[in-house]
Amino acid sequence: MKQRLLLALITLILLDFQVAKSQTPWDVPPEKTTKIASFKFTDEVRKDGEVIYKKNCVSCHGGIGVANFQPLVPSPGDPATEKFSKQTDGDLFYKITTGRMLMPTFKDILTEEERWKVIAYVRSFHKDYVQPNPDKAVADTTGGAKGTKVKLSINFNSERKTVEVIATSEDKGVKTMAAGVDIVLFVKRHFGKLKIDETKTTNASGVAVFPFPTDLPGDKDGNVELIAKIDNDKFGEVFTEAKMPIATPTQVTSLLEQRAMWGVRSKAPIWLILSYLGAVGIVWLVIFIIIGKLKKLHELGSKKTTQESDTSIPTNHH
Amino acid sequence: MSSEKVKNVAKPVDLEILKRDLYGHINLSTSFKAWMGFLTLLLGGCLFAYFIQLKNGLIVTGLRDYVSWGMYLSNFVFFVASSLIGMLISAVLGLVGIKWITPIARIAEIIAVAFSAVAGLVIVSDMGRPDRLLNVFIHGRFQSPILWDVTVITTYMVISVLLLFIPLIPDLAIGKKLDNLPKWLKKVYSILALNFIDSPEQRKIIASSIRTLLILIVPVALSIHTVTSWLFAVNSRPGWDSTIFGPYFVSGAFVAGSACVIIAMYVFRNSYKLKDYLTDFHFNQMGKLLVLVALVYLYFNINEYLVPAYKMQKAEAHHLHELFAGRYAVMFWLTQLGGLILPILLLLLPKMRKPKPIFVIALAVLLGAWFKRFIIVVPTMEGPFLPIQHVPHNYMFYSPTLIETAVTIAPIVMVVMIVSVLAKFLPIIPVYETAHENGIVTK
Repeated sequence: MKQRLLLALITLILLDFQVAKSQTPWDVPPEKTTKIASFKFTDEVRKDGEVIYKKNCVSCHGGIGVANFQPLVPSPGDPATEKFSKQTDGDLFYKITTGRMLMPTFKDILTEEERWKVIAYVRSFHKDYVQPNPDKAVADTTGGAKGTKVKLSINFNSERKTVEVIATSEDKGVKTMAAGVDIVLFVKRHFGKLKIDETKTTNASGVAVFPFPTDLPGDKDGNVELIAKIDNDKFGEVFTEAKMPIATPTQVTSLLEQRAMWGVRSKAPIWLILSYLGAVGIVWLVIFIIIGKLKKLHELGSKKTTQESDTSIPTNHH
Repeated sequence: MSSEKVKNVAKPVDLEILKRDLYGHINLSTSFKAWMGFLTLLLGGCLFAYFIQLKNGLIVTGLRDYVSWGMYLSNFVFFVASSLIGMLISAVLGLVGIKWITPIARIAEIIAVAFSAVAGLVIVSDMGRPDRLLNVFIHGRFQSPILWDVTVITTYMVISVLLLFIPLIPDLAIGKKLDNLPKWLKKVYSILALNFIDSPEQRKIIASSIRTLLILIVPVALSIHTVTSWLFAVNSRPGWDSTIFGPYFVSGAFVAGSACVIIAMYVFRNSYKLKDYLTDFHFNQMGKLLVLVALVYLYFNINEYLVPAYKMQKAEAHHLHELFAGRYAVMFWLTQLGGLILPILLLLLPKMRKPKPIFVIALAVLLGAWFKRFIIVVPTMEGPFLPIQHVPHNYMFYSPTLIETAVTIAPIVMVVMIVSVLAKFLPIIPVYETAHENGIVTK
């Protein structure tokens, strides 16, 4: 008995520890808390946000204000509640961006603009919310040299089968190759972005080299959409996109193209058309033969009756 | 069912007696007018119900998203089933050489024609937009059992009409010369008799045409009800997902059709004074036939319910529970016991195969046959694989409305009208054949 109690106690403590761990406050660095959106949350923005929310967030958080979020630990919660409304825009932005435990990291999945749009949508459920003046938004370039702008471009080296991302920085009209910049490379897929290899750092010539897989499926011409992105906040959100015919071409034939039971009439299986028409044809041929015979029956009778009446008319005169 | 020494007529007859007895009922009697007047009024009321449905849409019925095939589709299956008897009596028994079917064959064909002619209309009543009916033909897909069904039912009806008409030609030729028939009818007879003068060539044409059609109708009839069963069996839903649905439907059809024929035989025997032509012997034989087909149907029923019940897969379990002990238990057991098992047991007693008792038993069998179709169609639709959620109560459980019931009765009234008119203006016992069986020269 004593042993059992002890066991129960230990279990309880352990459980409590687990819960406590999941409930440690989610601290947001002070400089991130004050971050605000650089554009106004208009109806159009909120509508965009709703679309993004429904695609990315509903599966855990449920519909906003409906309280049908998933029963997970830690609880995702309904974004309409005070738990969310009392946080700053910066808090929400940071948490969406970085993620924690079950909350995924959206840094690479949604652009900054898209993340703000989601916040705009969530905020439309917070009654007392007033958006901070977007004009006061500061570009997050704390780490970079002031006034430095980094630009990316994407090249494909067809000999080595590598993608080269070239980073250039421009300072007061002078262009230089940017070395030591961390770059991530993605390929757009149907349901998100596929990361190619690891994060690479640009070399002295400003080039980061990514080995490109040879078996990646592209569209019917082998096109894929590449996204190269700087992997830290130093330069703000810097990315570039390029569409290149460097993947394996994929021939997708629609299931409706082939002859099958589920197709339209013109796509019916040949054997089925032949069986149907054959059976119907044979049966109706027989029916028409029978009708033809009835016609013959009629003719036979009328021949006989006219013959009879021919002979009967003169006898009447007698 | 020995075919030897069959005596189809209970008294000595000659051609004059046959003419008197078998054309005797053909006149526009007051009772017939009253009967048709009653049917017309009833049909008018039912058609008014259909008018309301056309005006307001299918919302006036109990049909909703889940149960979209309710009483209308059950009725349709029942109609196709009942029409199948023409094939069993004329073709199967006829080709085997069974003689006692002579006075019954025409009744069976009339029933086949009436039910198959109206079956198509029953489907139209289930359509929300009947004005788009032509699209079934314009855009019909070879892959769809619905197209197959439309095709075979039309074909079966045409063959049934021919099988009613061709053996009738000699009877029409005899009838057109009779004095006691109305003038207009004799004119119709004269046209339809196709100048039949009983010449050897003509006899040969008639005999060979009938024989060809009797062979042809067997596969067509089998496919009409098999295809109707496939409308259900090609779905993987509990209660329908079965490989024996074809023979199950066909055997059930013979039960319904045999009951129909027995009822018609009893009514005509009494109202048209045909006791010497539709004798106790014929009722006795039909009783045995009904037992035979009912036993086959019972066998398929046992397969159809016992095997899934033994496995009790989740979806099937829900379905079977609804039938055996749930919402449909009363209907199910009444149908199976009262419409199938009890009739089989009773008809094993020779006493019960006398006209009056077998008539009552046939009524029970026919009623059971109708409800059996309901049990096949509706409970399956109430139990979809994905749970029904957030819908009003009347979406979950089907209950037919009054208007729907009236629209369901309409085609039944039509069938009774068609049978009444055909039986009134045609000799329902084949005269020519009966005469020849009795060695009477008709020429």
